Amino acid sequence: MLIYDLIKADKHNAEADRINIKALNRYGDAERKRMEQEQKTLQSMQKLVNRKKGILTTSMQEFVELYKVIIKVELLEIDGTRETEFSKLSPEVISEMQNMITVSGYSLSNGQTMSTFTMGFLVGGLAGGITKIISKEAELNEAAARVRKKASEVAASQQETITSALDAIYQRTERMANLMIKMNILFRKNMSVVKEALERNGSNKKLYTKKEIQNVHICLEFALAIKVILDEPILDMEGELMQHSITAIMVGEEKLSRLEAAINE
Amino acid sequence: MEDKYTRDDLADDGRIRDNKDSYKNRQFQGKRTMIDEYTGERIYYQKLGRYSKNKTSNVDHVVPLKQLHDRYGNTLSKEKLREIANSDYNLAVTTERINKEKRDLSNHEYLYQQMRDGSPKNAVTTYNMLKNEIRSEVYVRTNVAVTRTVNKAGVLMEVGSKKTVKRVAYATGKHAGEVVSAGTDAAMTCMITSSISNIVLIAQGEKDAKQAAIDVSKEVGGTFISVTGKELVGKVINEVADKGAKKEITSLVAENLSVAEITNAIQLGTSIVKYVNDEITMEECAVEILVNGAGAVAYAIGEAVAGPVAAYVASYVASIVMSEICRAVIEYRNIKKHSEERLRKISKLAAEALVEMEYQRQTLEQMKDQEFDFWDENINKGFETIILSALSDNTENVLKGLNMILGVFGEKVLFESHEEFENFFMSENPTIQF
Repeated sequence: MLIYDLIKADKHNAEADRINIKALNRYGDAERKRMEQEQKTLQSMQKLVNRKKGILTTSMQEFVELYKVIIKVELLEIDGTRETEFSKLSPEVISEMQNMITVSGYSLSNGQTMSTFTMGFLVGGLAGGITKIISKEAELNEAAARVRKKASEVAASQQETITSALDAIYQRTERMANLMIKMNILFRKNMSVVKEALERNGSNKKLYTKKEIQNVHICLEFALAIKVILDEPILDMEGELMQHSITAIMVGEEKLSRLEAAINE
Repeated sequence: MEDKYTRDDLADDGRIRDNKDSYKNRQFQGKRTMIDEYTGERIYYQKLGRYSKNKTSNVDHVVPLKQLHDRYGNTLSKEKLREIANSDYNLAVTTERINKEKRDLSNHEYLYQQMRDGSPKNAVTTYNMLKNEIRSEVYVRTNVAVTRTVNKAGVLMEVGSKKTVKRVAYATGKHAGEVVSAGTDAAMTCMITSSISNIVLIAQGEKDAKQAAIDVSKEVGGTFISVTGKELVGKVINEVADKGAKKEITSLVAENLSVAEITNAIQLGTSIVKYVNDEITMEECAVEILVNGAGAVAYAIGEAVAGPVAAYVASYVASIVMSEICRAVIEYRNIKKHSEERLRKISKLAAEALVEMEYQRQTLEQMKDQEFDFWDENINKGFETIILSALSDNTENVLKGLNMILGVFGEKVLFESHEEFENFFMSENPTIQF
């Protein structure tokens, strides 16, 4: 049809070129930053996972071992669905506990699975729509360039939102990891103080001085605190910050879809 | 060319291309190139070389000399026909190829021929050629109508009044030409075509200009009073009044224009009034005229060739041609309009999206700041308390520090005091779940 020939024959001009290049550059920058943040966040999450695993397999294990002579310690999963009981003092249970700490069935791997899912959700769904919009096929006339520029701006904005959401996760995991280190240092320090008393006095509670009982108490509370932090999910899906991150991304996704529909009309 | 006049009688090469102030020279304005009035492409003043026909300029008679001769050769003088044929309003600078291929065809006939021969012109060329044809046809027909009016009226008038009528008609024709060239003037032209009698009546003092403008508008089917219509009528009146002729005219018979010309005027008028009312753009008006006026134009074309029967046949064929071309032009216009609307819609959606997304992002940043400020404050304070307490051997305060840290997670220590723990420690089979 001759009209379509006319439209297709609209010439590539310098202005269309300039608009196209600027639009693609802006989107390209935003996408690059998002990818960098994604890597950074994933690395931070992995670091936290490793740190948690490390503390569980070393400090917490030592604590359970140390305290078994005086106090029955039952370590439970926080949501109750993956309950791990360290309730009895039998060798079988201790061994089971040790397995549970060190092997995959525990919250760490579940957290890791969840993180993979969430990251996929955060990052993965949009690429198809964006590449459809940011197409390098040409009809490089100015009207098409302007449409592309609009789409690029919105797509770039969505990348910025995702980057911000990923940064929220990163900042949280970094803080958690640093907290764990500091807590672990103090915990281990306490344990070394308590160990001496426990080895000397064993299960005979009457032999413990007031000060030694206080130290046992403090060390226990440190263990408790570390357990609380260990049980914190890598991604706090219920938290307000995460919820708003998801909302912000979903809003952007909806706007992009509407824009894509208008472009493809 | 047969019959009354020869081609040389009607052609005026000096006026159209050779003279210093020829149409061609005025269009090029001393430059080497200009934009082709039909194709929109750049063309050259001089021959270029091997492919010169597509790039070398020629001046085209939009309504061909032969057609003008065939239509009006028996009713207009050689001088008048020559003047109309070579007026700026009947000329267009285009390529040598188009001009030579077109020969004695009108623009729409040429477009049809190209389409039929498998070399259709693109929509830009089609649109421009048709637009030029309308402009030229309107100019030609108006001038012919005016001339006939003058001629006929002259027969009926006494000597003194004849001069005045001539002046009126001349002024109208002159201003009609100006109006057509402005591109907004098809409306004016139509009004002129049907307003000769009104203008005369104004000159006679039997109507005022405003009333004349109202009547003119009504005559072309509209109820809208055109400011420019009034202006034109005003111009003519002033010119006539200046010559002191207002009272001299005694009577004038309205010109019996040909059926085709009247039909054309009415059909033009309907679209034109819509244009004047800002209901449609000039381009839309031109397209509507093509679509609606195709039949009338075709009839007029047919009439020029042979008698009424042949005219109907010719008009039928021409209508089909016109319809096909018009459909293409309309679709192009719709697509362009749709593109502009589409871009507006997309721009609006994009702007709204960016605002909303920015808001969401700002809220997210604020929430991050609040959350992490709270975290940092409590965690740092907690550790500070623990360390200071440990240094001062105040284990109760160590618990306080731990509480600050656990508070960030919504938790607290299990035993708030040493005393409480001691009671637990000393109990039988103490068990802790955490």
